[in-house]
Amino acid sequence: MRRWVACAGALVLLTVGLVPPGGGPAAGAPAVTPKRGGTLNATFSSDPAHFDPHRGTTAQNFVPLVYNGLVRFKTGTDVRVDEYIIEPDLAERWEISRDGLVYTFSLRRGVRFHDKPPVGGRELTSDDVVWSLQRMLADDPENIKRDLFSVIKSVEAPDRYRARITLSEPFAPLLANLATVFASIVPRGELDYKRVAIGTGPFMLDSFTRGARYVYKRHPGYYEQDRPYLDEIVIHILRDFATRAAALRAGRIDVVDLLPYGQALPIIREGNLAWERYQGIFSVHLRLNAAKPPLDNERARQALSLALNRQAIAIALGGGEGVVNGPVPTGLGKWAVDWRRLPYFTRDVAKARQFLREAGFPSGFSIEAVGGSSPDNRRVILEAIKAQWAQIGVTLNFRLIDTASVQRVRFQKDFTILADNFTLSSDPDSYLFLEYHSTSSGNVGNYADPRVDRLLEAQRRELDPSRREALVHQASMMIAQKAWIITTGDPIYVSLAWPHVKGFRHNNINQYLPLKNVWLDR
Amino acid sequence: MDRSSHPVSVRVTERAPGAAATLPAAEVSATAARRPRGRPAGRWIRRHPTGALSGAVLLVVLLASALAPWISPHDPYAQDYDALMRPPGGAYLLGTDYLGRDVFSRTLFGGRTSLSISLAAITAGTVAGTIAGLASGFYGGWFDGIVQRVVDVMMALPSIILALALMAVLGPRTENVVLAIATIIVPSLSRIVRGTVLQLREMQFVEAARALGASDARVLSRHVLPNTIAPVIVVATTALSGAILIEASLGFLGLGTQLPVPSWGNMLSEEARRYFEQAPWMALPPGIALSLTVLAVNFFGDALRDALDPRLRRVPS
Amino acid sequence: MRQFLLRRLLLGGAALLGLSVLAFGLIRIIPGDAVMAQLVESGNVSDLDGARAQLGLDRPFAVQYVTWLGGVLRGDLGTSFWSRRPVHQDLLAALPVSVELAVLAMLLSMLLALPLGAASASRRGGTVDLAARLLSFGGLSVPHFWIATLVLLYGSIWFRWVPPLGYVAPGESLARNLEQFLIPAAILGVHLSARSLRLVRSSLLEALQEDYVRTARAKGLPGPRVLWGHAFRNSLIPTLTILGGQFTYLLSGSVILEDIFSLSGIGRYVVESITHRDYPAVQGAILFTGLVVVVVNLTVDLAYAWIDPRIRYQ
Repeated sequence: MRRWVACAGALVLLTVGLVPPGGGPAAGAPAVTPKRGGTLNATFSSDPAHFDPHRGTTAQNFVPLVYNGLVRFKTGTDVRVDEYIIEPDLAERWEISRDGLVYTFSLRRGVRFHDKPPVGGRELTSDDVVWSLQRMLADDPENIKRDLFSVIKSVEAPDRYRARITLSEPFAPLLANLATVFASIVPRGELDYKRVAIGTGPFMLDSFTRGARYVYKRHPGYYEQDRPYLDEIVIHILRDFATRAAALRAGRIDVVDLLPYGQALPIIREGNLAWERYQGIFSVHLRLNAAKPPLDNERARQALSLALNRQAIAIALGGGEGVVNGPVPTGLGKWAVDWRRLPYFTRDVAKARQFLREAGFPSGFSIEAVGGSSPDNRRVILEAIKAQWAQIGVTLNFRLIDTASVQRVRFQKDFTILADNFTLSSDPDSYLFLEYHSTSSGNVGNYADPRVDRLLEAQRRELDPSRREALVHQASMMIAQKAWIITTGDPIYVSLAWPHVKGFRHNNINQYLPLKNVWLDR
Repeated sequence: MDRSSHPVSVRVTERAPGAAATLPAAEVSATAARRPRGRPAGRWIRRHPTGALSGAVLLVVLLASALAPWISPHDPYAQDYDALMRPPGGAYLLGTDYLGRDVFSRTLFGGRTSLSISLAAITAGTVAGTIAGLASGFYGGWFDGIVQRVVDVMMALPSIILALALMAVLGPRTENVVLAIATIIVPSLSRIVRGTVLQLREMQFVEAARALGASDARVLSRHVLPNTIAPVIVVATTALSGAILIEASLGFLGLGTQLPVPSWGNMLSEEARRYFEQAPWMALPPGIALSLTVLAVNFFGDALRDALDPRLRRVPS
Repeated sequence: MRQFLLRRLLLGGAALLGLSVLAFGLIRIIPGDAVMAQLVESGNVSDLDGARAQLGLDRPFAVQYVTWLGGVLRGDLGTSFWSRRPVHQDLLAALPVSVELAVLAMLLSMLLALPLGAASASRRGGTVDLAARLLSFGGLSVPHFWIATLVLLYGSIWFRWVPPLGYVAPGESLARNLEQFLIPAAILGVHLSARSLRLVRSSLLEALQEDYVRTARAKGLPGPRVLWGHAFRNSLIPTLTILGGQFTYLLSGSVILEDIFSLSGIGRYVVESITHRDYPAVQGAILFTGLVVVVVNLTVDLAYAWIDPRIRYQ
């Protein structure tokens, strides 16, 4: 079964709004008995700094197979890419108190850690859960995702198989945050996370060579009886894009994920691989520093927003197809507002110029931006924005700097405009509260508006989904009005797999999570 | 080897890591002290057809780059969102890139950037290296010792690492690329000049000039300097092709001239590579232009060296 | 000779000292310090100073330098901030990759340059000469990272082939090891052969002009014998110089190719360490490279002096 794609070189497709996923034969095969065994080869572009899921951001790509959380996102070919379903993982059920402040998780019994020293395959108990949660709350400079959990006031283990979390206030995103890799449950005790990764997950980190490969072997004592199917997964570190693409086409790599559509086209056209397209939720954006003139002037910021042709940027990002994002990425479905309804999101050069005049800049101004050099689609955005702002008299001078310098810039809030990434999440809270609330540590742009604050606090406390949706939409509208962060778009992405790879479906939160369901048909 | 029949000549060779700095042997003999002037150009062209052709190609390239603002059909920065990655034809002679910009115009302007960087760097490096080599070789002593140790240190670092480190310290800007490339060729160039000066210093005509009471400056400028010009030109030409390639490497790594300002190097990097199969016209024009230019510089430099080296002017056996 | 050797050793040592200062200072001038680089993203940073003290970065530069230098002289290059392993261990892991790449590239470059250089020198101006020059210049003028890209692209499309994905030691499997190194070595080799070719050609040409060659010819010796027996040996010196220079360049200069072919060599190590502001690693790697350069230069100098007794340095 093959699907032919129109030549995108000559034809530019404009994609707005939601793009239905699916586009290849990878999805929805009829019920077949999966075969066991085999090695799957995957790839990633850089090494992790360590294997600690609670510190930093590089471990997240290498540990989702190694650890479990209390809950997890459902993965598999029966789940749509834009569906985020939370299901039990280490906790087989949980109870939430009426006031929404106390969560009691009942843990599965007989879950065993990997049989590696110093843990030695012992059983997981609530002590491990408490230990892990305390790590997630630790006041450590490398604990960047702390704000996902900071509402947690205390953690206890009433007995061996129950863990109780008490919040300081109701928190709607809690379960979604607990389903991320940042809430992995690790064995209690001090471990050298530079060398080992020991968890309860379907795969064990067997061995690794920095700069070369990371080998995971099946965990024989995994609690899900019939999983995983694979014997081994190898993640090869291939720094260069051309090498990754070549390795895939030559068959050395079995599956590649998160490839922008335009770049995947020649591979798709070859017709050897099964593929699937979806919207990403990375949402590369420009953070404006609201404390630095002229960006302290709201009219000026709104002018900058008005001057943009966001559709063109999104398309250029994807090499032919892309999606425009508001404050909440379009890939989050019902949480996002249609971008055409968002204030100042539709291009109007004349109005932009007028706003600039009102703001006191009749002849425009010059402004500096910095951005990390990876991922490199940031540069495309900056190039496009530079040309577009030039039309209203704003000269954008941008510099790409390496990751170490980005850290410094962000920490010292020493920027005028910063091209940055969001924390990937299925919950809009990460894209809203973390970024815009005046007390959030992720708020590096000096944003403070009491009305916005109240709305953001209200949405994260609201446990009723439809009421919360209204609040989130309201927040999006208000934040678009402030034009604090210029969001642009996301490419349409593609995942590619050789036909013998079965059961793979991309997961937006973590691209390696789906590998636990994969089996090889050969 | 029979020493008595061998005229005074010392082979001066340099070991030098790095793209711009590996040098052919430059031999200076006593007979080279005064080159006859005004060799007929026609004879040179006839004997070096490839060199002459290369010279012509270089001229065209330089002219096209210099005149880029006037001969470009489009603004190299104008983005046409209705024509993303269009193949050559129609309004866009060589097609458009990932932001709808005209590839032909960008190639012209890119050449302007790349060539001006390389030429400026080579000039600066040559001047600095010559001065250092002259002073070091002529005055000798502890000054020479120090300069040579510094040169040793600089040459102990591979050029690309030095360039990367310099760009990391200084920041990725065009001026810094010039500085980095110039820094790379200074050490080896100074060694060449110093070597030449060392021989010349002992030669009779220099001793004679000094005996006649000529000042250091006069000796340097009238006698020593002219004889260093030939090896320096040869080295500089070789270094030029290396400089163009280093600039391309830095541009490729994103450390050179920053986009959207086009240079051949940065036009050959990320997007051009990622979309090469479906849009090869993004990479081929700057790539071919680059290779052609480097090729022309090499051939031309070769022919120039043949012309300037007195020993090879003799009839080949 | 002994005096010569001693002098060169002293000079080499001085150069290394200077290099150590350069390495130490350069990495510290680059904005963004090591502690920041350790924090992948910084949110609520509480004990920045503590982290800095832990890495020993709170002491004055001079003290840090002397401490480090003292360690180096004892053979301890320090511990990498990033991998938390001793620097010399990381370097030794990267060394075989770089050495193999360098040796193979040099072999291939000589394989091309020597016969072609000799052929074009003996038939100067002929078609062979032109063809040889064209080939080598072609290799020199196309940026090597583009040749690599094209090889990978069309190798995977036409032949469903890609080099082995991770380093395979020659001991494990010689075939796969060569499969991995051959292409980058070939690209580098052709790239280098251009320069070597010109040198071989020009030095052979000069040698052929020499009086002793004319004497040999006058004596009736056949052409090839003159070429290989006499002229060639005397062009050995510049060839050696070139080889030495190539080796040191290749040792950490092939950074881009190491990236593309997933080889973790010394060049890659230096670049990554700079990005991570891994001070001990950068210092150690630069010093190490410098040491190799000094040793290679010394060897070349010795060979130089041994081959040609006329060579005297003041």
